[in-house]
Amino acid sequence: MTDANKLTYVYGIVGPGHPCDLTDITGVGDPPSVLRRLDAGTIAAVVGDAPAELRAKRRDVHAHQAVIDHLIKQGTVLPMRFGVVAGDEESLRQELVEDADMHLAMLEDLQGRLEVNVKAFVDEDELVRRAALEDPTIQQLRDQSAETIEDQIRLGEAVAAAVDVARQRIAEHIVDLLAGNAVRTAEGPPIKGAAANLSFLVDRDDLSSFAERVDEVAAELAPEIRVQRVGPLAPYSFVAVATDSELQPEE
Amino acid sequence: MTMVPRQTSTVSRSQRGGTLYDVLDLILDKGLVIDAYIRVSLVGIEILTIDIRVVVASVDTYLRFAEAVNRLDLSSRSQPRTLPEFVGDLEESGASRKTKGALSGAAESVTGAFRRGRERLTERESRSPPESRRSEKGDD
Repeated sequence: MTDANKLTYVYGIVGPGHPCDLTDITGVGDPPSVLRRLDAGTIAAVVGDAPAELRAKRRDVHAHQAVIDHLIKQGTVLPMRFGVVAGDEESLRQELVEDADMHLAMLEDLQGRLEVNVKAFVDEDELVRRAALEDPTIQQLRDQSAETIEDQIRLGEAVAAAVDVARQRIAEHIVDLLAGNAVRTAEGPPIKGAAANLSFLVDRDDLSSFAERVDEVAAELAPEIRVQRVGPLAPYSFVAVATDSELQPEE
Repeated sequence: MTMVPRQTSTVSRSQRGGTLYDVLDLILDKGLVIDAYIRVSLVGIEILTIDIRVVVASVDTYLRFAEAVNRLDLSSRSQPRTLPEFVGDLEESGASRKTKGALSGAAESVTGAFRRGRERLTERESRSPPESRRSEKGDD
C-alpha cells in the first residue's frame, strides 16, 4: 500500500448467478474509475482502482451508491460500506475465496430481498416541551431554580432521558406496525432530528405492499411525526458481521 | 437542534435509491466491511458521519436542553397535545419510574410548581425571543 494508485476499491460482492453487467457505469474518483469483476471462486467482487485521495465527498459517495444501485437491479449484492479498499487485488481475491462460504450463505439469505429505510422525524422542541410538561423529575428540577451549572446539567440530563424515551417509543411503535410486513428489522445509526432510523429487509414481491403499509403508518402519524421512506436499497443494514457492541444496545 | 422537515407531504416518496443525503448514514455506517480490508480516508468519513449524527450525550446537549426547558412558555399547557398519545406517558416509564397512584398526586402538585415557574419565566422571556420562532427555520 505504499503506492496509493495500486489500491483496489471494493463496491460489492455478488454470487455466481449475477450477470454483473458493468456497461455505462463508473466508480469513484475523478475521472471516474473503470469497474471490473474480480472472480474469486464461486463468488465475485465488483472492484475498481481506488483514487489516490479518497474522501467521503458527495461525488464519490454518490458514485459508490450508484454502482451498488446498478448492481441490485441485476441481482443480489452484498454492498460494501463506503471506503472499503483492499491493499492489492491478489490478497483481496484470496480473502474472498477464504470467506466464499460465508458470503454465499449471506447472498442466499438475502436473495430476492431488499432494504427499505424508514426514518421518523419529530420536532425536538416538541419532545422537550412534552417532557417538561409531563415528567415530574424535570418539573422538580426546573422548579428548584437551579443556579449552578451542575444543576443545569442535571436538569438537561433528565430532559435528555425523557426525550430519549419518547424517541424510543416512536421507534418501537413504528417497528410494531411494520415488522410484520418485513423479513427482518435493523436499527440505523442515530440521525439528527430523527426519532427513529429503521431499516426493514423486505422480499421483492412484498415491496409495493410494504411501501403502502409505510404510507398508511405515515398518514396515521402525520403531521407531528413525519415518516420518510427510502428504498428499495441494497441490504446495507443486513450484511454486517455483527460485533458484540452492535448486538448489545447501549444502556 | 432545530431540524424541521421542509416537506409538507406526510410521506416523502423517494425515487429508487433515494437522495444521497437520505441514505448517507447507511452508506457510511452500514454495509459489509471485512477485517482484512483497509478503510481509507477515515477523516473525511468521520466528519460527514458526525455531521449527520446526533450527539447523544454531552454536557453541551444537556445545557441546551436545560436552557430549552427553562425557556419554555408553559401557557401551552392549555393547548391540545400535538404528539400522538403513545409518545407520552413519559412519567410512567421515563426518567422517573413510579407507581401510577403516586404519579397522579405528583402531577397535580407540579401544576402549582409550573405556575410559579411560569411567573419566573415571563420575566426571562421578555429578554429572549420566543423559542418557537427558532424552530421554524431549520438548520440548513
